[in-house]
This record gives sequence, C-alpha cells and structure tokens, in this order.
Amino acid sequence: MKKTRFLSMALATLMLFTFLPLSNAMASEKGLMMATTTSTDNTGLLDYLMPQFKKDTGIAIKWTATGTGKALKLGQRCDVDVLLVHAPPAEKKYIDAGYGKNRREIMYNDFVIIGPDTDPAGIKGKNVRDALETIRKNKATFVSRGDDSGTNKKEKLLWNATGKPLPEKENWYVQAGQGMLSTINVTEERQGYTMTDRGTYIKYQSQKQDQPMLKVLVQGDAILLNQYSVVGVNPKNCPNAKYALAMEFSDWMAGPRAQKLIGEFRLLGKPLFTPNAK
Amino acid sequence: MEFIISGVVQAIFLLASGDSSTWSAVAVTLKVSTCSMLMSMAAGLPCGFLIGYFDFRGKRALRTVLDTMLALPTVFIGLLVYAFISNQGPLGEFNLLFSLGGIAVGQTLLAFPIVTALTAVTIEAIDPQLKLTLISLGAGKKNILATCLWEVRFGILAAAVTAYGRVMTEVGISMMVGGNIKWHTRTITTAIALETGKGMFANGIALGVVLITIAFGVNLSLSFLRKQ
Amino acid sequence: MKSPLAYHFNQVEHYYGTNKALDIKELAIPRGSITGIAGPNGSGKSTLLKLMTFAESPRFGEILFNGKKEHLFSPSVRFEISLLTQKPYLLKRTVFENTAYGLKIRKNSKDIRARVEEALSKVGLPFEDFAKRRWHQLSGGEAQRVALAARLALHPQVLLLDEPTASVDAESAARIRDASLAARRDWGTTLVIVSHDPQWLNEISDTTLHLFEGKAVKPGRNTMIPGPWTTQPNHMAFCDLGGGQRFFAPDPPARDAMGLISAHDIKLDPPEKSREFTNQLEGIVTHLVLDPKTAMVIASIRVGDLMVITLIDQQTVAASGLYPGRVVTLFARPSAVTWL
Repeated sequence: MKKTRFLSMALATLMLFTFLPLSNAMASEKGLMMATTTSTDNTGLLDYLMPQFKKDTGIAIKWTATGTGKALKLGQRCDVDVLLVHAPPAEKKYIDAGYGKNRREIMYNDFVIIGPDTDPAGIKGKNVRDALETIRKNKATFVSRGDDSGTNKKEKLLWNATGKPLPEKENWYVQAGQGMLSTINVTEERQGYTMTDRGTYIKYQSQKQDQPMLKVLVQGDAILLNQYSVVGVNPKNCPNAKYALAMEFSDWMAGPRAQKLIGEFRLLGKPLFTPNAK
Repeated sequence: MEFIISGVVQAIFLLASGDSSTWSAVAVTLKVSTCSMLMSMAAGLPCGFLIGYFDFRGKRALRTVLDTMLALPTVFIGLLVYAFISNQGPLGEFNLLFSLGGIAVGQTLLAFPIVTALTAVTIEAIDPQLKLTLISLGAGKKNILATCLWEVRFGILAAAVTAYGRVMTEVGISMMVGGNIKWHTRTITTAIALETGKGMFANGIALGVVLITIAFGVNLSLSFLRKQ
Repeated sequence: MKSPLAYHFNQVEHYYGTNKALDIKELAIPRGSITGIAGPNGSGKSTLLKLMTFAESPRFGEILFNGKKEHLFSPSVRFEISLLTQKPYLLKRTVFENTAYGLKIRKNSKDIRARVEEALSKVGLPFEDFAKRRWHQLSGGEAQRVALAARLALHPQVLLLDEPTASVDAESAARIRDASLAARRDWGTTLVIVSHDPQWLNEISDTTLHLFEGKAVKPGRNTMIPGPWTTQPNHMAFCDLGGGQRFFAPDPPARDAMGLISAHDIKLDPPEKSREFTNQLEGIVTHLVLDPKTAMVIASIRVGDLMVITLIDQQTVAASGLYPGRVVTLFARPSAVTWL
C-alpha cells in the first residue's frame, strides 16, 4: 500500500514537472517567428544580434534555421512571420507569387571556390566561368552540397552561367547532401574543389589551426556575391501572420544600429558580413 | 578520432560549468520526452491491454499493422505531424508548430505503437494459472483486472522506459516539428545535429555523452524501482 | 435443509474444441469427505477440478454445488471454493500480501493479520520469518506452502488440491498433507485431491475416483491396470506387469484399454474349488494403512511394476504376519476386471 502511494505521488510529481513548464512554454511562445538559413545561425550572428533587437523593440523573436528552400515553404504555409534568406532570384519569384511582401536587402557576404593548395586543375586566379570550365575539362573532382540550400542554388547558378548543363551525372561531380562544413571535409578527403561561403571557410580554417589543406583559389567575382534579405510574409496570403511586427524587424535590421552591429560582427577576428541596407 | 576524447572532456566541462544552453537542451529534452512518454502510456496501455487480453477477428492483422508502425521513421512522422499542425493544416489553429506541444504530439505517435505492442506482449505472457488462481481466491472481475495489471507492472515499466528511450533519442520529429529553436525547442539530439552541421564534432560528442548519461540514469532508477 | 452432498455431477460432458475431456455420468461427493482422484496424465483430472471451481462450465449436464446450480462469481462459489493449482502461482508481492489476498477481497479486514498468521503456521512457515519475504525469495516447496496458506486463510468449504505434493521437498509435502487434513478436521472442509501418490490417497481419502480418458467409474478402492493388452486366440488377453508376470483378463475393448479391479476382488487365499482360471501373482507388501471407515487394512502390494491394492481384515493381517517387505501371493479372477 505504502509503495502504491509512493508510486502515484512520484507519477503526479512527474506530471506536474512536465506539463506545467510545457504549458508555460507554449503560452510564452508568442512573438515573432522567423525562418532563416543555417549560415546566419551557425555563424552565431543571430545569437549576437537578436538580444539587441529584443532590447530595442521589446519583441521576442524566435527562429528556426533550415535550408532556404524549406524556409520559403514555411513562409508560404504561414508557419512563420518573417524570413531572413539569401537566394534573390527565388525570393523575387516568391514575392511575385504573392507569398512574400516587402523584401529588403540587409547585408552580404561572398562565396569562394576552394581547392587543394597544389591546384591540380589550375584554376587559381581565374574568374568563375573559366574556373568551372577548367574543372569540367579536366574532370577534376568537384563536391557540391547537393541539398538545394541557398548555397547549392548559388552553385547551380554558377554552372548555368557557363552556358553548359549542370554536370550532375558526371562521376567527378560529387553531391554530398550535407551541410557546408561537412561538404568541405568531404572535399578535403577527396582532394577536390568546392564552392563555399566565406564564413564557413573561415571556420574551417580555424579548425585546422590556420593550416588548411584547402585554399581559396577563386574570389572577388561579382557573381559570387551572397545577398541576404528580410522578406515579410504577405498578410494577404496569411492573415494571421504578424506583418506589423515583421516590418518592425525589417526596419530595425536595415536601421543604422543593426547595420553597425553587423559590420562589427567578427568570427576569429575576420568580418563575415558586409551591411548594405539602402 | 581525437575529437571523441575531447568531446568526453568537454561534456564533463559543459555540465559542471552549468553551461546554460546545454542545460536548456537537457531540460527541454526531459520535459518533452516525459510528456510524450506519459501521453503514449495513457493511450497505449489500454490499447495494448485490449489487444493482449482478448481474442478477436483481425487481431493478427492488427498486430502486423502495429509491428509495421514500430518501424516508422521519425522524419516521416515529423512530416506527417507538420502537415497537420502547420498553420494551413487542419490543426493549425492550435499553434503547435515550433512548440514543445507539437514535438510531444509527434513523439507520442512514435511511442504509441511501442507501448501498445510491448503491453500486448506482456499481457499475452501472463501465466494462464494467474486467472485461475485469482478466481480460486475469490477475486471478482474487477479484482482480476486490477491484479493482472499490477502483476505485469515490471513489463509495463519496461515498456515505459523503452518508449522514453526512443522519444528521448529521436531527432527527426524534434527537428521537423520543433524547428530546433534555441532556448525553446532545441533538444539534445537536434543540438547534436546542429553542432555536427557546424563541424563542431567535439560539441556533438559532448551532447551525446550527456544523452547517454541521462538514459543510463533512467535505466538505473528503473532497476532500483524493481528491487523495491 | 442443506444438501448432504457438496457436489453432485449429473451426465456431465466437457469438451475442448472437439476433444471430449471429461464424461462423468454421475458423481456424488459428500460434504466433509476426502475424495482422491487418480489417473494417468491427460485423463481429465485437472479438468474435473476446473469444473468444480466453476471457472469453466460443462458443455452438457449439470453440476450442483450444495444442491444448487451455480456459476462463476456467484458469492457462494467465489468465497467457498478454493483451488490449489499444480504449479502454484504466487503474486509478485510479499508472502503476507499473497496470503491475505483473498481475505482482503472478502473485505473482512479486522482479523487479517491473525488469519494470515494462523494459515502460515498451519503450513509450518513462521510468520516472523516469512511474512515480509518476497515471492522470489522462496523455495519451490515454500512457495507451494504459501499458496496453500492463502487458501487455508479463507477457511473454505471446499478445497481442491491438484498434485499438491508433486514437486516439493519431503518436509513441505508433510506440512501440506497435515495442513490439508487439519482443514477438514477443524472446519469440516470438503477435500478433493488429485495425486500421483496412491499410498497417500489411500491413507487419507474416504474414496478414490479413477479417471481414464475422461471417464470415471464409481469411486472406491480400485487398482488400475494399464495396457497394452496382448490378445490370445482363447479370448483371454494379458498385460505384462514386469518381472515376467502377466495379468490375464477377458476381451479388452482396445489394446490400450484401462482395466480396473476392485480391492475386494484381490485375495490372499486361493479360491476354493473354482473351475475358472485365476491370476496368480507374486508381490511384495509395501504399505499397510487402516481404512478409517471400514476398519479394514488397505495393503499396497507391488507386483512387477504395478501397485495393487487389496483390503484385508485386521485379524488376517495379524494371523498371517503381514508386514511391509513380506512376499505374498495374490489371486484375482480375470472376470473381475472392468474396463474404463
């Protein structure tokens, strides 16, 4: 008997412990919901920026970091209120379809093409178009994210710009299907080339104690620019979305304070993003 | 290789230093898996009892369906739950997406077949002598039901722990439905996925060590309960 | 007035699927009696006990309990009939909880402790040592004794025992026997006991019911002669008893038929001037007990592999100096055999 009472007491405590905080958590889960891409979250930019946003505006913001494709889908289905993404052509299409409203450019970083120091294909210093042509001609190993992320979209765009089809069926074209850092690691193992955002490359560099096997070979081409924008979820499509709050966020991100903070954000002493709000 | 060792060291450091993001993930994990486990028990126990206790037409077909459900991949359940609780889904108005409640719904679906199947097996394994014994001691129908359930309490406890272990270690539902939101829906497993994606393998290992420690604690307390 | 019979079976037939498990034309068990049930494995002994608990109802016929038709869960059945199954099932609780289980259901919670203490002491388990033990801290014999104590605590009107001493140590067996007998002595409990131990059954039971393939003959003191029977051209069949001895009987219905011969038809003296052929068997006396009802001595005599029972009056026992170990010659008419 004593044991039964003990057990039921333990169970009751367990339930209290579980359901009370759960309902609290659900009640407090009101506020702005954002979908963003892994690069803003992984670099720690949002962890650095968002507490300031809350301090300035009193708006609690939460975000889920996914690929750009899924982030757009979440907005289309009204599961989030605002997007911070980096795939301008897709964003424009998205707005034209009536899902998004009021796109505002916030900042950019850039992509680079990296490869082994020995550069067997010989692409160093070339522009993007020539570099990719050289890789194709030499059938040099090229590792792609292959996950339809913003970075992957950008890479496909670069291949398309060469005027020839994407070499997806070639056996020197490896689709990793993983995150950027894992993809860089695959590239290193295979002694191949890949395209990455500079932030992730800096991270990779630091992990190798500044002695990375893969070096930046192609950079600075205008086409390699990676533009981040805030896009509101269209209230016509999603009447329940908090459009006013989303615009407040958009304004803040484009405002002088956030722009300054973005410019000052450093990873391993190197700037990751360049603010460029108009 | 070296990141495994540094991961273990870091795990101890993270826990001992009271690293708030780690502890938040631990708390979220415990909260949501406990809730899912309790809900799946509430639903699965009676179902398992009915399936195990009674013989009826279609029982074998039902068992086959149940056994198949044991193999449901978590990302699939996650997708299914997402479809329902997304704002445009039929249950959108409950605002469950990106909340612990949403994860709990998905995890309950995950654990329900486990609890049901294990309960059914436990009930089926009851010694046929038990019923006769209880009858011959003068037990009525209600006494028989209550006593049978109490007799198989260890089997049911094992079902609970198995369910707990399963929901605690799943990643697909938490990621898909919860959204891996820091301080809110980031569980240990989604944190591991994130750290791995970031290339922070040692951090991933550290969180893995934390998870294993919790699982070990749960099993340890179970074997303690058994001895009582 | 209450019926003098605890049980009365009338044309009872019971089936499992299409297998006939039991077929009893008539069976009367008086209150306060001790009935032994003997028979080979699968002869329907356990089924008979199950029917007596009313846990199962016979497909045909009726079973009266205290003169009334009864069913499972009726209070007069639930609280009066208790069965000790062959392999006891102990609840996963303490010895005290096991023993008190039935009492708690009956809701007479005043004297539970006293009743449990009494029941445990009847089976020789000191309360202080055992009450707090858990089910897995008992030997096989102790578990069986706890199971019996749980029944004794109820002071049942009827106690059904299925092989209560089959797989227990000698001390436990003795305790179980004593405690069962005490139940009848102290509370007038009707005992029905299934046992492979014919000596013990003979010793304590008023009568023994022999079952074979679900069929029973009138209870009494009988010896069962299992086949196989070898038929000869002269319509006499024989069964090898071992040790080169044969038992002859006329026309068995089947090769594996079970023959039954009453203790009254087995004699120590040769029949006088009989022209009929007589079985003449050498055997060793193994056991002599007094039948409390008839004041006769029940002698168990081993012939080859068969245990034969005969009834001898006390004077003859004394005069012929019968004692266990003594070699005797038995005589039995083949026509005295009946078939089950």
